[in-house]
Amino acid sequence: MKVKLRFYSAHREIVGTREMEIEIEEKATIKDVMRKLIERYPGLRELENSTLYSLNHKYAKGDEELKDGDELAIFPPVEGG
Amino acid sequence: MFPRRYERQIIIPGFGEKAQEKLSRASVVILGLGGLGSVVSTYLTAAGIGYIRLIDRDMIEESNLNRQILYDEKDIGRWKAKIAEKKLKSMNSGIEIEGLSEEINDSNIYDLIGDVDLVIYCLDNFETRFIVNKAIVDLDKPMIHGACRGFSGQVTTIIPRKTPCLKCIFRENVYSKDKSIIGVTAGVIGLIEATEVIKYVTGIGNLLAGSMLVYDARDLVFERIEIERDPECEVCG
Repeated sequence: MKVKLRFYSAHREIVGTREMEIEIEEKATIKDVMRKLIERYPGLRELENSTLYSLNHKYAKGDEELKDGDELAIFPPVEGG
Repeated sequence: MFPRRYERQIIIPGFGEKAQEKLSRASVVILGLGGLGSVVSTYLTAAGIGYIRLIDRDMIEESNLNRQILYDEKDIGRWKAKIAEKKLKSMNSGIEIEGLSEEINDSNIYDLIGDVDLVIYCLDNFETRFIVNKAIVDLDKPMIHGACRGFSGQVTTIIPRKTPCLKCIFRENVYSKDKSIIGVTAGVIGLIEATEVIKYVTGIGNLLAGSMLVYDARDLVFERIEIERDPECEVCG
């Protein structure tokens, strides 16, 4: 099944694109997707623990299972003022 | 009767002298007078917020000048809170403005925010963010929260015990060495914070309460994310 990913801020800079679609296994969670992304973009590793997610425009903790067609936004907490 | 300087906002349908009266009676504190605080304080001064307290511990440095639009080259080495107070007073003499050069900590925060209607967060580190977050929950004080870096930013409006607090969303401190920022990003995020203040005070429109706005200027996209309170939150749960 496929999910659509959107990236913001530091994640957007590392991945180099605003959005992409990826193929995932049945019952894969958000964190499984993040691990898959880290394999492809190792620069994401240092952001892994602080990464925030939104699943279909709703805040998600990361252990949620994904369904075909889900939209996942991936971004860091921002701290500058 | 309000001075003509507010004429163009008073004529907005649904605004009127009633909304201007609410602005003139409102009191706010702006925590941090950097890129965000420069913009927030300038627009709230122009809009006619009755009392604005400005807090920042720092002096102006040359590296501030790409985004901290309150300050000129000749201000380098002077206290931000004092320069900001002076400039904003000259922009609008009909409101009260007070600048304090203080470092926020977990004992003075209650005095700094306790007597105003609304807190506007414009500081740049998570440690202070959590000190302020605990205080607004303890005092039941609403807060507009903004942050920015590079080409991106985030804004949310917190109404304690009704919407998530910062600890519900950001569980860990984030210590980043990344100080990158282009001035226009602070401008966009600061203006959204100031807009939320005006909406909160006047009761016009719908707030970013229970939502977080995520912005990335590289693609000029905004994403509005629904956020929920964490029943096990150590601060507001």
